[in-house]
Amino acid sequence: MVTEPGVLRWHDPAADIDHLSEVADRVRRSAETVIDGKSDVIRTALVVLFAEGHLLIEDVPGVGKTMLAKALARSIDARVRRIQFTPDLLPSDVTGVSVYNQGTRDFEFRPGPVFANIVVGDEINRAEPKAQSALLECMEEHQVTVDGVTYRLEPPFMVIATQNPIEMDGTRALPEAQRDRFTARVSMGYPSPAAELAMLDNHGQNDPLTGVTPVTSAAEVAKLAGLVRSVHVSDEVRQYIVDLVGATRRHPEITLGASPRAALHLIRTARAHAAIDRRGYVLPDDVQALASAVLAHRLLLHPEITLSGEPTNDIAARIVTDLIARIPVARQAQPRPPRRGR
Amino acid sequence: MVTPRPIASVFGGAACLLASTAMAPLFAGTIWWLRPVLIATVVGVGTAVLGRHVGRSIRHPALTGFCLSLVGLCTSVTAVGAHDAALLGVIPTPASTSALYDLATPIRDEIRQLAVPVPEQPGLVVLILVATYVVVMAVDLLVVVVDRPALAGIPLLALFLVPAAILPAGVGTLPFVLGAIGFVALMLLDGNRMVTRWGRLTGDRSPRMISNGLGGLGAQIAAGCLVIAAVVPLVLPSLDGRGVVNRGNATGASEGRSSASVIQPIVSLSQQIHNEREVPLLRVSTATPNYLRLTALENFDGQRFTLRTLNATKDARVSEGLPGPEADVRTVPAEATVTISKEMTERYLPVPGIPTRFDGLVGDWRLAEPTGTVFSTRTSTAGLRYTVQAEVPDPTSEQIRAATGAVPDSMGVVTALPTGLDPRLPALLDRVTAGAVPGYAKVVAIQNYLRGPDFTYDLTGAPTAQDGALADFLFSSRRGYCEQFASAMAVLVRLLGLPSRVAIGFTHGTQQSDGSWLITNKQAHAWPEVWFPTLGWIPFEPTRRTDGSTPAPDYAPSTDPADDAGASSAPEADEAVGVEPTPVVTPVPADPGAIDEEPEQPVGSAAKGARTHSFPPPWLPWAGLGLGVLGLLSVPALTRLVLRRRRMAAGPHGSAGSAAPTDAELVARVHAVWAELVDIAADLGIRLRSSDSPRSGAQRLISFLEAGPEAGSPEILAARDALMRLATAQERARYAPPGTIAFSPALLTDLALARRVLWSVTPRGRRAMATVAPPSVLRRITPGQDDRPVLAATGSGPREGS
Repeated sequence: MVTEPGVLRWHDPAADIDHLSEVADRVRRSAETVIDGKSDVIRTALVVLFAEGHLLIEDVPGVGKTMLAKALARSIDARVRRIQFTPDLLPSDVTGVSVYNQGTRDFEFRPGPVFANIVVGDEINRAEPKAQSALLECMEEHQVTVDGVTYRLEPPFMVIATQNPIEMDGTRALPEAQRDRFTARVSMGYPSPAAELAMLDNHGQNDPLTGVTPVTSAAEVAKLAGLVRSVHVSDEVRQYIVDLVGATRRHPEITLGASPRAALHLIRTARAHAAIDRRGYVLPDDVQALASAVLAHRLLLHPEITLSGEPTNDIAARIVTDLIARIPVARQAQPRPPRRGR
Repeated sequence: MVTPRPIASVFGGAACLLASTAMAPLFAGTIWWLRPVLIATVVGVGTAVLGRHVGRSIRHPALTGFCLSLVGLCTSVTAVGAHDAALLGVIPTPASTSALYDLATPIRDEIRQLAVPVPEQPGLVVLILVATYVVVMAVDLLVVVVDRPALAGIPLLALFLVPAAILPAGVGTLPFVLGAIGFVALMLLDGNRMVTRWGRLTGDRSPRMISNGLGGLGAQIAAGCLVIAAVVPLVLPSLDGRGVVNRGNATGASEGRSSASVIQPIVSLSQQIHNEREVPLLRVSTATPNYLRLTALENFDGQRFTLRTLNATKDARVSEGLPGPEADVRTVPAEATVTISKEMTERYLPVPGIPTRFDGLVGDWRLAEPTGTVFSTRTSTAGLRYTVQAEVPDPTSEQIRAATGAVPDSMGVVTALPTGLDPRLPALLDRVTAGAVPGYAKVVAIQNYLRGPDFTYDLTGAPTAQDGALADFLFSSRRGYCEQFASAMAVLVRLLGLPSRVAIGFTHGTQQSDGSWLITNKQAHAWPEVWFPTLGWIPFEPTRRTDGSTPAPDYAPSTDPADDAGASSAPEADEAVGVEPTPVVTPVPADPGAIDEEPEQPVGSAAKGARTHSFPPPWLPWAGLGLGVLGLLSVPALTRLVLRRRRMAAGPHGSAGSAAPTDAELVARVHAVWAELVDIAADLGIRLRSSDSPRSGAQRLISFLEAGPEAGSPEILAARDALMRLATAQERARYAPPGTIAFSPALLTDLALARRVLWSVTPRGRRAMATVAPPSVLRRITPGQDDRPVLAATGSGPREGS
């Protein structure tokens, strides 16, 4: 089903939203054949996909990070590339390199693995910052500049990176700039005993990834992502997002709060979340559901707080949860006309 | 293991010291009672702290502290009470112990007999020392060893209890506040310790600030309670006319007057009768209106009659039975229910005639036999209500004539006349009583001479305090009021050789529409009493008030024809005044012009205005206050009702309207419905937070519904769906793009259903609360608790548009 995005958007918004939700559901079910019992993680990943963002999956080795990334990638009929980040990875290994063509007697650009719809960056925090930084431009601006020439990246473009917690050996913290470009960070967590048991049964016979077939196309995803941009966000929700993001900047336990880009990412993912929920407008609940995933990894905690031994990710997530519980969503009991500029 | 915590001990000692200020009004002077209090506090706290320090090494700090305190008690008592008999002045010996015993034995009787303020007594010093020491030890034990500073309020209260029970004015404001400050300091200590017990403090503010903040919460509450305790009694009526804090007496030091220091009744009478303002003092329900008698003045110094020292032992309490009248005298029984207003703070109880029985009388009232005064040194009359049965002497003339005999020597006081009386007096007496047989007839003659036309009742008469005032009254001015008339007759009767005295009290007052008799300060009165053998004291009435309220008694009829109108005991206006006789039962109080003063006396319009106001029944202000309070209390419930009506009214009305409502109207309507739901929840104690979205708010309500045993019932399920619909409508109204919002009247049905089910699962107490004082309304007045931390934590000011 390929129609012009414009037509789709204005023809029947409700039907479009339903379609998006349906596609999302298909992808989710497809991914769940590989990763069992992680529906919320998969849901966040889908939100990020439709919000045209990038996903960072962080957890200890062996919980299925790469598996999730690959499952998502395979569920979509799109160009998928994988980069294994190692300490000796060079930026050109990511972006591509100009090589001299003897035949044409000219430099010829050999596109790197970023020239794809979905880029799986494995163990991203094991590379040198230099190599990690190669992703900065493509993630934010969807373009690559090599030797002064800028190349556009085709939509949809999504980076799904995995990383081990910084406490692990051989890892280095992602630069703040890099972290900020990831729309959301999710943590896999260990599977439940039942899910683990089922996994042992299934994975013993064959690789579940082989059974994953594309359930949607890159073009459709790009189109639906355009639809997500049209989801209505009321003034109250905008204000709420500003309040929430602003609160992280003033929080006493945080030295670096969420950036304005974080607010942008939050509103974009909230839209996608609403659309997947078959809604044409965003609720504070959408924001609340995503705030932790979108904000927590950007927060730089006060050094004193991190000394307590509690994992920093947990502390950051807890701070965001606390803020959600305290920031008013809107003044409830006071009805007022929904217009601005009083 | 107990930690010594000397700071806490010092706090406890300081609290005891502050509380002990409440005892100040009990004692005359300061140093003598403050010294043992200081000794007790310092030694008590010192030994306890020292004992616990020493005791740490043997691992029994509490025990050693206690033992050392006891030793401290023994030595300090010995040092103060039996210094000379003790070894080295402090170590108890058998001799010192017996000396202490001798000192302590009379205390019991002294306490019973002494009136406050008590002068210095060696036994009392020891008692104060011991009592304070015990309190200090108890406070120290509770604060440090038991570690429950709040309980230390109980022994501290004991220090308050004595003055509160004895002093008629209660504990003064200042001692109360001082004692309370001490207690609050202890609570503050407690609060800070609690905080440290919880664990390490974290947060953006310094631990000290948080600790002070949390500990300070207790102090804030305590301070708030203190303010309320001090202010509320000023506003609210109390049972005995005064709360713990006596408003009339800020220091609490001046009210503890005894019979020795009481204002002379005659002065008080003079003040009352001359007071411009007419103040209702008494209300008497009786079938037989009589004079009400307070006391009698027996000492005569040549110028004025003064009160003889009143003495009454415990056995003379009116509850122990009353002697009643002399057997021979004919009496008329009288029963009266007396209600005394708060304005009247006397030490003497107004009674008609000779009381035989009291009912409903509160307080330690004793009968001082010779003067027939019912008095109390501890309770004042203000606010009392009691029923008294009495015998009013009403002897026949024959009885009095027959009562002859010698005056016993014990009655020297009431026959005594000072030397240096005006020399013209015997001559006057002879002239007045000429022709009358000695005894009764002469007394009647004196009375009727004073009631005669020669004398004029005039309130502006000179007070008797001046030298020669009595002679001036009898020989030149011949104008005066009851005080002069009564004194003059009493003196003349004494010149006859008969015992006489001046009784102080009230005339019977004016009858009210409800049949009771209202007595104001203008009805204060004095009259002479003459003692006859076998009959006792018989009142006479030489004063001829122009309003006829002071008729001559039947056994001593007036001979003056102008006085005839006053011959009956019923209150009637004097004909001479030219005022219409006032009917006995009248809807308004008796004609004020007839009450008290000469018509020719210039009466300022202000004074007239003051007296012409009708007295409202005393319950009226309270009833009004009660209605006001009730009205005030019902404001929240009414506000809630109005709010609900308004919110609900917008719905059906708008949907029935022909014009299509605008988006804004629709939104407002949905918001109103939601706001009502939020308020219903708040009323029932379910606090929807401002951080709750409509959806999570509804979820909160649903979990409330499903928490009870009714979960799963069809009604709950229906309510659950209704709540979800309401939440969806609200989130659409608030967050969906304009143009897609709809208001369905079904929302009102959903709201009604949700309300009904929410109320049905709520406990009864909560429902009552929601009905009477809806928290949703009260919350509007006080800013929400849960909103504050956000501002504090995020530091954001009020949001734009808020």
